[in-house]
Amino acid sequence: MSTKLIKEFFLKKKKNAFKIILSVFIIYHLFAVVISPHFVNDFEWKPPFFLSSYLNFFGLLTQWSFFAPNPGPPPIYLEWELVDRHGGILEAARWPEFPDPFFLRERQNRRIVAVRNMVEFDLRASKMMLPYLCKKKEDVNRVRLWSLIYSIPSRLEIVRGTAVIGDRSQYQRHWVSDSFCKEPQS
Amino acid sequence: MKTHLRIFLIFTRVWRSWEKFWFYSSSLKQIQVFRCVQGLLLFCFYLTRSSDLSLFYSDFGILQGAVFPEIMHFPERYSLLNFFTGFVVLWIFHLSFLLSLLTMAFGIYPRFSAFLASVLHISFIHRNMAVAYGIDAIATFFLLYLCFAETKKTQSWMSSVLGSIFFRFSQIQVCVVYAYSGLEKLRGEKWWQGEAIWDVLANFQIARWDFSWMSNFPFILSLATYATVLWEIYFPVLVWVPKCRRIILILGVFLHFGIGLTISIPFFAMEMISSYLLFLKSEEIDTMLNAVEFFSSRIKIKVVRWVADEFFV
Repeated sequence: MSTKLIKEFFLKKKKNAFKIILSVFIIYHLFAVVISPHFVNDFEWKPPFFLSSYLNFFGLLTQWSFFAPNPGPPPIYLEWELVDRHGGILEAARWPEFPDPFFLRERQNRRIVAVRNMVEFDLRASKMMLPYLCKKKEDVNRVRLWSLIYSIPSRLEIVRGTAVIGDRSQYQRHWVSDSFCKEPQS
Repeated sequence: MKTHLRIFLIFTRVWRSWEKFWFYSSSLKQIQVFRCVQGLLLFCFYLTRSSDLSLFYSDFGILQGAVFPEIMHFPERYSLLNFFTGFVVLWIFHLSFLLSLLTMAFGIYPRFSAFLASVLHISFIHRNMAVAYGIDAIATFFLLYLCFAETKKTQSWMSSVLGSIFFRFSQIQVCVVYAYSGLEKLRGEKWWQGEAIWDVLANFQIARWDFSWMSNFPFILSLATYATVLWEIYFPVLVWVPKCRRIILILGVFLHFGIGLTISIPFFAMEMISSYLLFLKSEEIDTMLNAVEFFSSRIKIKVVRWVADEFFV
């Protein structure tokens, strides 16, 4: 009987000790997930060392700002031209394709996210797209890239009839890069 | 002495509430249904990625593995796809991921399935973060939490306690998502001006249809804008208040249904709605399952009758 009591006593102690350890982990995890969105916003804070590995390793560093602070960027596309050795244009198109060619919109959604990420920095767009586009055709020598940013008409413009949604002519064309697929031999 | 005793009593009370909340939540039914819905939903969602595997995750696509560190600085973000390259490996990982989601949904080794799904999911996300968006981020958290979630009643004390903790983490995660999403909106002038919903609907790259006709209803647009912000900000608080829980969840279903309908992110909408299962009581889960069973049996009977009438009579 007494042995059973002693066993129960130690089991309870063990459980309590375990609960304390778990409580420390709970506080740590909560702190990490609650504070983490601050590390990817405009303030550019850096996570302290005891959080960064944990957040990065498990992919928990996320900015929960859906349609915030303002709802997304306007429609953005990348326009590209594949140029051959003689300066002739082999192919020219937009990415993502316009209008959306997919039955499953999720495919287009990933492309939209990708292009939004790319146009943040010209270098990023160039580094991401260049190797891909250079492999598109055999004779590609150079790739020219532009970003196209459409405007979103205001509600009043639509009411007055001075603009329409999806007007293909209303965009700003911004030059991104003109790069060789292979460095030219001097 | 009296003060010490009072502090001790307060501490004991706090500790008991803490214990009850974190270690002894009755979550089995909720988590079982949630796991099943998550597994099926994510399976369908990631099945759509199959056609773009090479484009997004191989060296023949839009981001070569070697280039990634040059354009996005994310240290300690490891991916199995950086160690094992090639089309065959990519497809093996993708199919294993889909299979693990299915086994997780049907309760076949659910913890191991969730673990495998989580590892592979993180690998895909970390391989090309430029194509990851909302639903990917939320799935990262849920899959991680499901690795530890309760699977059956007859489990060890330790397993049950871990299940309880990760069930609470899942609930709190939903609150964190809404809290940040709502509070961040307060920084945007479009949300203050009541024009944010218009800007979403007028963005032809994401809107499902042409919503020009909505420009004639400014009151509805402003109301929807303010209601969205208010709902997101108050969700994390009101969902814990028993009297408000149902109404806040019902409003959430309407909000996400509206989002799914107007802009082309139906899976994200369904993902968020599915997370409300975590806030339902066991009786409500039972009622919901009975309703599903009732309707599915009615549909089955109708289908059987139709087949019999069409082909055998």
